[in-house]
Amino acid sequence: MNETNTPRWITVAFGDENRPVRATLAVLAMAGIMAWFAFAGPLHEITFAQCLADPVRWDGKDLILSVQRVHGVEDGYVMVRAGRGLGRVRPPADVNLADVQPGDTISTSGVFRSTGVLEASWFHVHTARHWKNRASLVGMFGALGAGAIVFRWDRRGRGLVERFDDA
Amino acid sequence: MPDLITHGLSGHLSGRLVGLKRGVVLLVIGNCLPDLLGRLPVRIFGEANFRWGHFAEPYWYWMWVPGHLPAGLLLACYALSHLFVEARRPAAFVTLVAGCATHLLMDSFQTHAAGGEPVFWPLSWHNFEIGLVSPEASLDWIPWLCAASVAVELAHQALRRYRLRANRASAPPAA
Repeated sequence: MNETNTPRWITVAFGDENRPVRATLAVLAMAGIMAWFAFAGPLHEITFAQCLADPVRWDGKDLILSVQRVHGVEDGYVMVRAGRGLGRVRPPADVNLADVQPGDTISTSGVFRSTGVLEASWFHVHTARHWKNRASLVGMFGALGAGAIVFRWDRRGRGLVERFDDA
Repeated sequence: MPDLITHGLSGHLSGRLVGLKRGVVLLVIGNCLPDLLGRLPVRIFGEANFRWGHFAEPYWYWMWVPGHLPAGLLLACYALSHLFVEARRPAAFVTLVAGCATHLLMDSFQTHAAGGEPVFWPLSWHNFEIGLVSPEASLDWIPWLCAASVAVELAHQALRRYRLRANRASAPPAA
């Protein structure tokens, strides 16, 4: 980095001096935030599994299940994972259960009942979810492959540089 | 999230249309980074939970949320920029952040059952989204984005060759 033209703060933040220390601090800060979310995040929501563990206490609790895989469809209920066990969701009357297959992805919201059933008032089947997952895999490998082709390790600069001048 | 083909192609298109000389692939990677850090682990743990009932505790999922939030992504981009040589490091950081910002902006247009994500954390835990399209709507855009991306790349390469030829023609002959 040209010391004469570069602002001091950029040299401090991005220069070679203390490079491993800065990178390690950033990773540790990220790990700290992740740990904080792992601890504080679950305090912000009551899960289906918690309701099933104490159904009388959570009777009438509004629940949202977002992007859940369907385990099975039995006796008018859609079975989804709730913690280590399974939970029952009763879809609204206008939902045709023949359209819901094991392995499908659903999002739903409704009221938990003390009988251990989530009475859904809104129920959505993500019919194109499989295609979206596949497209995301293609996109992920495409981006990482492009990165592997375009970047090379520069021994003198001890870092990555682009192989091509317009990539 | 739109799928990663849509995010990647958006990164390529925005990089070429803005006229980035270097860093288009980095912008593509920046566009994919939030899902690689925040969604991919959740998908893996979620699949294990669906099949075997392992990783059922909520913290296995909450811990990855910062990978899809501005605060966490700034740190991740800063750490990743340190993989680059000193001369490219600030530009790599800015390019990665720009890619992540584009990703989050595109994601905010989707409708989610939970009402989005706490993008303003640590100021607020409140979920936010603009919420105009379904999460799978991006699949319909892939063919158009692919066509646009190919057209823009061909035009860029043709313009580059034209400029190279013009520069060679106008250069003074070697003595």
